[in-house]
Amino acid sequence: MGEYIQDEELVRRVQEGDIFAFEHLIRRYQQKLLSFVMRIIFDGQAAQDVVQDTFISLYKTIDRVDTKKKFSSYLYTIARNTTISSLRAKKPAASIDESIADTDAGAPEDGITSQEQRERVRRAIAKLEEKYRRVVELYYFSDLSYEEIGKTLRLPVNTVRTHLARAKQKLRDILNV
Amino acid sequence: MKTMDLTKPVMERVVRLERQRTKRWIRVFSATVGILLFIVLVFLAQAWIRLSERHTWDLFTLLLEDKEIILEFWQDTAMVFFEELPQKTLLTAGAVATGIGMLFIFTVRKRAIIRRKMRELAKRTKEP
Repeated sequence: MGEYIQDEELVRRVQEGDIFAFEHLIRRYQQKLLSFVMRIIFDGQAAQDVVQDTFISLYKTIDRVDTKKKFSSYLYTIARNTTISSLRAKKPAASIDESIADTDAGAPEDGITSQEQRERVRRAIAKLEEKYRRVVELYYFSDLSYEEIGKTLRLPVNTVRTHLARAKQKLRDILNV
Repeated sequence: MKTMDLTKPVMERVVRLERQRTKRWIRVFSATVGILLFIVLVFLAQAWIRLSERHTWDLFTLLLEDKEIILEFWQDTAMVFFEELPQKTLLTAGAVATGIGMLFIFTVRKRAIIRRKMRELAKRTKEP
């Protein structure tokens, strides 16, 4: 009990027929994926459905997962594709402000203590162009590296870096800091 | 947003999916082996009938003779027996039988995984 098992090891176990090793992956990633999906579709129930579908898609293709590569990149790519499919099926129902008000925050607000300031940052992020907003969200909220964001959004690593730098500059402008 | 634990609903779908997939794999594997075995048996039966029609089996009456006679004629008898074998039919049966063997060899890992999955699914069924 308490022993941490690497994602890749869990994937290998599922590939070897240990169906219930998959439970660990679900528990480990469901909240991260929910946050990730929520920031794109802004609908709690739809996000839960998308996350369920993401895990089912993952399970269906788990034999193809290369355990030598980082598992989370593969998972976020599936989540992104599933989210896009879901968006194609129906339009988002809620506004960005309503949605982010309920979500748990991450690193960009480091050092900001008051709820009001936290809210200002959230609203500033929401005002960013989508290409910048998604990079910021993946980097700060989903804890992905530049490489992982590049793979998830199908962008070159340098573009990710540039987007992030520009996004930070825009946030400074919006927040007047 | 009120978040719920997705583990249970997802695992229920996974178990359902896995039951279907495992059953399908077992059905396909069993059908393949069954068809190949049937082909082998058909060819072996054909060979048996051919040998019976030619009374080739009668060559084995040599074994009922005295030891000296057996020692003198066993090589000729064996040669005649092999000449009378329907070689194409038996080669085909052999090739298909080899195919069955290869199928078992190539699916060793997959069969082990399927067995494990079946055990896991059975455990899941027993759980309240």
